[in-house]
Amino acid sequence: MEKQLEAAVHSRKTAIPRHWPLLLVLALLLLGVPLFTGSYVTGLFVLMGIYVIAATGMTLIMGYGGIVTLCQAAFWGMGAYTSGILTASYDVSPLAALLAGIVLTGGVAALLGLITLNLHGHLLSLATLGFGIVVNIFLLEESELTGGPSGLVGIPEFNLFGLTLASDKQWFYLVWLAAFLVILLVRNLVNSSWGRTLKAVHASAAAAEAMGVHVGRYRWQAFIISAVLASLSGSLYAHYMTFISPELFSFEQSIRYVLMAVVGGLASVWGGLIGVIVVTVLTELLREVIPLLLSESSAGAAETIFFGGLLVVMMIFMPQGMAGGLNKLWDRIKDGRNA
Amino acid sequence: MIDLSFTDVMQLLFSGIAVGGIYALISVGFVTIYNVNGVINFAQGEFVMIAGMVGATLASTGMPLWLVCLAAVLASTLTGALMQRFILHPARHSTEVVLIIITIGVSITLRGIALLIWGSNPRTLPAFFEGEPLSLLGAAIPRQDIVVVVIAFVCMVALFWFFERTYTGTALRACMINKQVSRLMGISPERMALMSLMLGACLAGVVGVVVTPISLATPEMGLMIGLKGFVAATLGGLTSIPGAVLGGLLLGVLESLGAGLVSSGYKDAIAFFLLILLLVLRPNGILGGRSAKRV
Repeated sequence: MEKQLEAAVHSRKTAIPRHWPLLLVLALLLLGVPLFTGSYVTGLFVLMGIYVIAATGMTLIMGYGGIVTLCQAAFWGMGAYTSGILTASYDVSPLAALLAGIVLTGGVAALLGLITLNLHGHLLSLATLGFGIVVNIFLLEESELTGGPSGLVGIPEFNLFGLTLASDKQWFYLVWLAAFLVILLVRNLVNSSWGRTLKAVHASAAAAEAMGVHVGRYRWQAFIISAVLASLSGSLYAHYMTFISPELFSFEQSIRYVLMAVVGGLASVWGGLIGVIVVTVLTELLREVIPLLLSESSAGAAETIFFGGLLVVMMIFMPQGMAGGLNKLWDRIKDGRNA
Repeated sequence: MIDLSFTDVMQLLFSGIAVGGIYALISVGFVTIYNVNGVINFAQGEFVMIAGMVGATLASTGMPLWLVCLAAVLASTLTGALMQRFILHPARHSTEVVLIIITIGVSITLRGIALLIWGSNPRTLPAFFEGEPLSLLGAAIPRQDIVVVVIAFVCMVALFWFFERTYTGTALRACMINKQVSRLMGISPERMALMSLMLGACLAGVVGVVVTPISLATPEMGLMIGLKGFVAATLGGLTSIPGAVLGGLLLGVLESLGAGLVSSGYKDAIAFFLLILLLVLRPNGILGGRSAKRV
């Protein structure tokens, strides 16, 4: 009870994040990345920024909506393929294709949500899992449209109002700007009356319903927003890589989003960002370290074991994720200073 | 639509029943674990894989086939027990969401371990009985398919006997219905939780051993087969064992007919499309019955 009260007090914050000095330093550091690092690191950061958008959607639906969706990669794929197909085969402008992807994905998510969101708990997860696999099979089978297992090639580069994004540096700034706008948007949503209601629904659907909240509607809206963010992220990915293939949008990839959200933390809008950074850095580290310890061929297996184990360990010992841990640490530092 | 003769339909029907028997066994394990532990066990398919891989490895050493099968089933049962003791037991007070993610994590870890030990090459077991396929109503039925159906049937009878006629089985059933009251009756839910995982893993192990001669064993095999078992369990309503068996058979037959009549590429999609449809129309399963909703 006390915890919930405390959470309620915390959520009534002003528009300025409470860690703002920390965030400012991080933002400045981030801005310098493409200036001081090589193209490999910059490219990595572009991908991270793209993933942050989808992972933030995952944090919203899992952490605030209380629903484990197992089809984030499918929404991601719908965005990527809509962008890819419209720009590569039909010569539509990238921005229009991106918006079309968002409308399509949002519409499909709205429909799926409409029919499944009154299911409770794991049944809902199952339904999203089924949906994700059906989408994946569709992408594989409709090869005339999607290129099938060999993927879709020749996606043009992204251009915005006549300006073509060619270099990684330009991509970097666009993607991270988008990522921060998304985080800010989600943060303000979560702290609005809408977000507080959503949290109430998550804490106890029965109690929220008794207070006159239309439980289904709030979850439904969160589900659509999360899908739209995945679609946006997928579209950006398609244009950045100029090549997409169905395995990027498989069940395994959906699990990777769950991992990112869980590792980062479900109780904070920064969870998606932290999760993406931690998972990406760990992946890169593992790729360096594992070949030294084991043979080259077992690197993929060891990576799988590591991330599977990480998921289990995080959930048993640190269900609040890294963001929860950092929040506690930050509070301790601040309290120490004030005392 | 493809034009099919009566024989072709029979062929599809029989192979559907064999596959359905497999799904039924996995789905019974699912339902047992779900109702005692309150968790959807995503690692169920990996239990199948472990039995398949262990069996295939032992068979290549020249061990007699019955011993190979026994060892393989034991290996997956042991994995189930270890998972319950060291992962699900410490996390038993977690929310449903957390538990789902934990079992997903376990399934990924097991797959990774299998990849590390065995690599990604498919392995096989010899068929239990050598020889030409048998012919029935014009359809050719591979001998191993018959083995699958017979073993699935024997397992079902054994399960029925276990759940209805033994003390442990009845206690397990009591725990599936109501944990608190079972505890008052002197049944330990902790022991029953362990038991349910072992039973589920053992059934999955049997599946692993009988399907490996047909579809080969790879570290990746668990994902799809586990998810199918899952769909079957949901078809049966997730709470009833007869429902799980029926769900498995129905899924196997529908999938096989769908692959033959509509499109083989969409074979896997049929199961999941069915899953969504069913969850929307009849969330309590084909047998319907009381709502299993917990608040």
